[in-house]
Formats: sequence, structure tokens, C-alpha cells
Amino acid sequence: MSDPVLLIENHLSITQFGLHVLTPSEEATGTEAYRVADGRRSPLDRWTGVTLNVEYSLKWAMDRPRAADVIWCDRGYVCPRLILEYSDDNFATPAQAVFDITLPTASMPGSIDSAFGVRTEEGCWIKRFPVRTASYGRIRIPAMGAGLKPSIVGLMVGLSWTPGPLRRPFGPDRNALVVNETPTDSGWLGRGRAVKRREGSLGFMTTSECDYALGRYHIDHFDRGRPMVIVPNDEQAERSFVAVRQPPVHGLSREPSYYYEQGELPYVEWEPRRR
Amino acid sequence: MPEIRPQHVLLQAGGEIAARFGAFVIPGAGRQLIEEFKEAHTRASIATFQNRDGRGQVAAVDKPRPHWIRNAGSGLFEPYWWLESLRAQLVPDPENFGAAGWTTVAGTGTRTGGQADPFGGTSAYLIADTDAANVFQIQEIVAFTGDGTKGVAIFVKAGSSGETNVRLRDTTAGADRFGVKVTWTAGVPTTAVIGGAGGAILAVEPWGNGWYRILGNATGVVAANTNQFILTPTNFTASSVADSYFFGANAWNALYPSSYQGPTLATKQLESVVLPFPYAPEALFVYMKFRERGNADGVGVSRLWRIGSNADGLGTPALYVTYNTQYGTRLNVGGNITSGVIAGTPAYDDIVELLVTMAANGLMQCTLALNGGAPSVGTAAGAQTLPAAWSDANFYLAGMGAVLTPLARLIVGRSVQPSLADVQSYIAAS
Repeated sequence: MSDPVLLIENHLSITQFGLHVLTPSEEATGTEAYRVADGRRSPLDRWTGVTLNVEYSLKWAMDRPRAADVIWCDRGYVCPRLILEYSDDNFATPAQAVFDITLPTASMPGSIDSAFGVRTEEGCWIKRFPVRTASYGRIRIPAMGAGLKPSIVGLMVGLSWTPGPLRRPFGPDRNALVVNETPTDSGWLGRGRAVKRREGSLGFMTTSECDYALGRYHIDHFDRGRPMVIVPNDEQAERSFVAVRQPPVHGLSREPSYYYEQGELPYVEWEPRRR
Repeated sequence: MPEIRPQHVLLQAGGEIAARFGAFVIPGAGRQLIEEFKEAHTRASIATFQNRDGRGQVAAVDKPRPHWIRNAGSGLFEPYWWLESLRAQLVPDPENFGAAGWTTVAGTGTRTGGQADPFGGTSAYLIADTDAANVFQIQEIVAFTGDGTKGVAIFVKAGSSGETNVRLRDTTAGADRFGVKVTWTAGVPTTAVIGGAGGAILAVEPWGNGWYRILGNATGVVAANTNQFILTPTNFTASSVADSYFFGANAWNALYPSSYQGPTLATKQLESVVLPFPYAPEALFVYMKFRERGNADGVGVSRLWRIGSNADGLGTPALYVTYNTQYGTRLNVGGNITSGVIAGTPAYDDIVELLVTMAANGLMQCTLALNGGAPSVGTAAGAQTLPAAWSDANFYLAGMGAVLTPLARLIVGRSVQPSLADVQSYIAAS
């Protein structure tokens, strides 16, 4: 397909969905479950518990049946195996199993639809699955072995948006070097630690009024500063990254040269990996 | 030719909407607003449905059911929003075929419980005829109320037997009111009505793990007689020694079968949906695409959808669609009722597209298409002055009468008077 995939919805976010309720099998003070969807990407901001070598689970009860087709796990996870399940009776009867996956340990090129998902270049994991609609979702992480327990830094599950080909130019690798530097009187540069941060713009060109009607919902979440997983090409999900909007005014509009809405959404990578 | 555009659409709902936009109900053409427009879905009992993997699931009280039905043309499962009426199930032991109520008809056999069932549990039975001298069968009495046609259903799965038979037999009159012969080929059934039996096979639904649900009508049931649900794991040859799997025998005092009801769900309560509809009466259209699963039961009482009319369905002004020998719309303004109807009776499980348009002068017209075929357009009828407001600001789905409708898509729009082709074009574009 080679289409971009955007994931903005997160059913685990109680900011996006104020009536959703997260219920972990256990959580420790300072590493509560809500931290999986608080937008922070630091490995110190994570969900984990205390008990070693037991199965961990995290359930999200939704206010209405919602559809989802993408799951994304932020870098820094300790989770060798992941089970995703859905239910409409709060798991009172056997659940609807979506997948039971041993996560890949290395990043390599792969489709977002691949059976085991894809570990991205920065160490996240992402997978698209056939759309599910249910009132309750749950991940389970089976016992990992003696002395081990899982840890999840960030988790997004929601319905993705595939807007069609993006307007050119689009360079998902365009980036800025973020660094403090001081020139010396001899012209040398004294630099602190440098970080490559992707920046750019998503150029949309809708092809119908209905196209725009669907996109408005997803763009509205993005416009409010919520992080978005950008998969520039669904056949190369390893290049996915997380971005937030840039503050200046932007949005889709109708231009004299084209009937339907088009425009640019400038983004900046959210908390890029330091190395 | 009027063209529908997003600004004409007031709301959309249904299984197709959930799969595309993420929720069963959305305002306008898309999920445009984060502050959501939500349905109020009520059902005072649990209910069952089939998930996209083909396996059975249970929805808790008041939880909508995302029911997936296999499209016979594409072979793919498609999403629906299951809306059903109140249903009391009559087989006393729908799952426990080892219960005392299930008695042996003849011969020797075994009933082995604990088998994997279509809902991910282990409540199914393997029933075996172990006796080469008789046809082993088990039966249980079903107490109907009122004579006539009754809905029946059961899950079956191939065992070692090449044939499985299920009947609803009037043992007083010595007549099979319903009888289905299932012939197995590599675990896939071919069904036929047993010779001499009454009734009809309405559908054979594929479920997961080799299970199939057979749904049918039993005709000519006499309630005062003894009616037995009879399970036969083999053919009717005495020498046959083989087995078949059974699960979930259901029967209802209704024309058509409905979703599965197990032992903890003797009565499945009425399902009702209320959507906010704060719009004044004006020229509008309502398009509904659904599976015909028995709206014809309860003639004239059912409300497929209604605008206004209050929760009890009695308020006016109101606009609604009912089935009374044919689908039709009614505009009730203070007791002055005008109506537009459309000829054509959908068969069980037909995919029905029903479009109602109402002009600014209250003139209504219905258009009906079955299974994607050519639309038939009813005679425009029933002009009357539109009221200033509906009796309440709600759009109701189901909730009255015997509505049995897996809903694929509902589109309610204003201003334009589209043809069915216009609506289909809009759906294709969106």
C-alpha cells in the first residue's frame, strides 16, 4: 500500500476519553497504570508493579463500544510477550482474543500488518490488526520468569487514520539538531549533548468533502497537542515516530487552486531518543 | 438529482460506522467533534452475539453488541449493531443435554459433556449412538403458548457421524413441525428439510471451530400438544454407531429465531437506543441498511425507528417506520396520520435498504432495495403541514415491538430528497 498511517486516538488516555477507566492487575506508587498514557516518554515514567514472576494485566473499560486497529508500545518497555483481548461483558465470559505475540527483540524493516508487529528504529513496537469493536479492552503480559516483572512506558490503542498519500514534499527523516553550542574566540564550537529531532509537515490534500469530514476528528485531537504516532509508510513501520503539533496557526483550508480542503500540519518529534 | 453532501447529514449509526469511524453513532458525516454525540443503549439483560472471528461472545447489561455476519457473496464477516426485541426462550435445558429433562427416545448411547462450545467455554455435548440395534435420540418437551409458526435454532458440529438430524416433533399428532437433516462433508454441513417434516431452514450460520448454527421455522405447532425437541446424532438407520456435537437448543413463541439464549438468559430483554435529535421538523431523509431477521413479527406494532413520540411511542408529533404487511412510514401530527408505504416483503436475512424521504410539505416516499438489487419506489403519499417541533428531541432505534435487526448503517439527513442511488454514492464516497 505504501500509505501513511496516523494514530492519534488512545483508548487508554483519560485525557482523550474522560469516562474511560484503567484497571491494572497491580500498580506501585510512582509507577501507576495511568502513566502509560500520560504523554511522557521517559523510561522513569512507566507502569509496573511489585510482584515478580506473575501475569500482569491492564484493562480499559470504555464508555461505549469503540473500534481499534492499531497498538503501539513506547520505547523502554519490558514486555517479551503481549496478549490483546476484548470483551463486552467485562471479561466475565471467555474474551475475544486479538493476538498473543512474542515481541521482536530487534528492529528490522516490516509492515505494520506483520504478524509479530514491528520494533521501530527508536525501540517502540507497533502493530495493526483487523478492526475490533468492544466495550472493554485488556492487555496481558504472562509471567516472565523468576525475578522478572514487566514495565510499560507508553501504550496507545485506538482507531488509526489512513489519509491517503501525503502531499509532497514529505520527508519523515527531515530533522533539526537540537544542541546548545557556544563558539569560542577561535571559532571552535563548544557543544553539549546533541539530539536529532525530526521536524516537518504533513501535507494533506483531501479528495472529497467526506474525506475531510473523517479527518477532522483525528486532526482535532492532534490540534490539542496530543501526541500522534506517524507511520510514514505502512510497509516500513520501523520508521514510525511520535510527534506533536507546532504552535503556529495551521490547519486545512480551501485554496483557490483546488476545490477540497488541503493544507499543512507542521509537527515536531515528541521527546526524541537521546543518544 | 439531489446530491448528498456532508453538511446535509445530521447523524449516522450502525456497524459500518463503528468499523470506519470508531463508534456506533457519530454526528454528521464524520467524527468531527471530540465532545461526542453518544447513544443511550439499554437492554435490561445480557445478550449474545458473534464476534469477527466467528466465535460467540456475551454482552453485559446495556452494552451494545457488535455482531459480525458473514456476507455470503464475499465470504467476509461484516459488522452490525444487533438490535432485538424481548425474547423468552422455551427449551428448558438449552445446553445441559445430560439433564433429566432430556430423555432417551430409544436405544443406547452416551452424552459426554465438557466439549468445547462456540462461546469459548466447555458446555457442548458429544452425543453418541453406541447401539447398532436402535436409533439413539434424546428429546425434551418444549411448552409453547399459542398455535402457529415458531422460531427454533441449534448449534451442531460434525462428529464421527456423516449425518445429524434435529427435529421439533409433535408427538401427540405424530408430525415433525420442523426437521433438518445435516449431511457432513469434511466438517461442512449441507442441510435439507427432513422428508415429510414441516418448517423451513432460514439460515445456517458458520461459527468458529467447526460449529454451525441452524435457524428455522417450525410450522403448524399446536401448543396444547406435546412438542419435543429431538436430537439425533446419526441418520435414522438403526445400525449406525456414530456421534455428533450439539450445543444451544433454542425455541421461541415467535415467528423467527433470534440471538442465542443460554440457561442464564431465559428472557432476553428489549433492546432500545435513544439518540439526541435536537432538530426541528423539516425536509429530511432517513436511510437504513439492515438484515431482515424478523421485523414482520408483531405486525403494526414494531418501530424500526422513530423521531419524537416519546419513550412510550405514543407522543405526537412523531415520524416513524413500522411493518404492517409491508414497510411504511407514518407521520402523526396530533392524531392526523399520513402514511407512505412500499410493497415488497423481505425474506429472512435479506440485506434491506430502506430509504424514507419527507419533503417540506410532509409528503413522504419510501424506497426499498433487497440484497443490492434494483430499488422499488413506493407511491408518494401523505402530505400534511409539518409541526413546529417533534414531541421530544430524540431519535429512537428499535425499542418497540418485535424488531430483530442487525443494523449496518443509518443515515439521517436534512434538506435534500435523495434517491437510493444518491445515498449509495454518498456511502461510497465516505
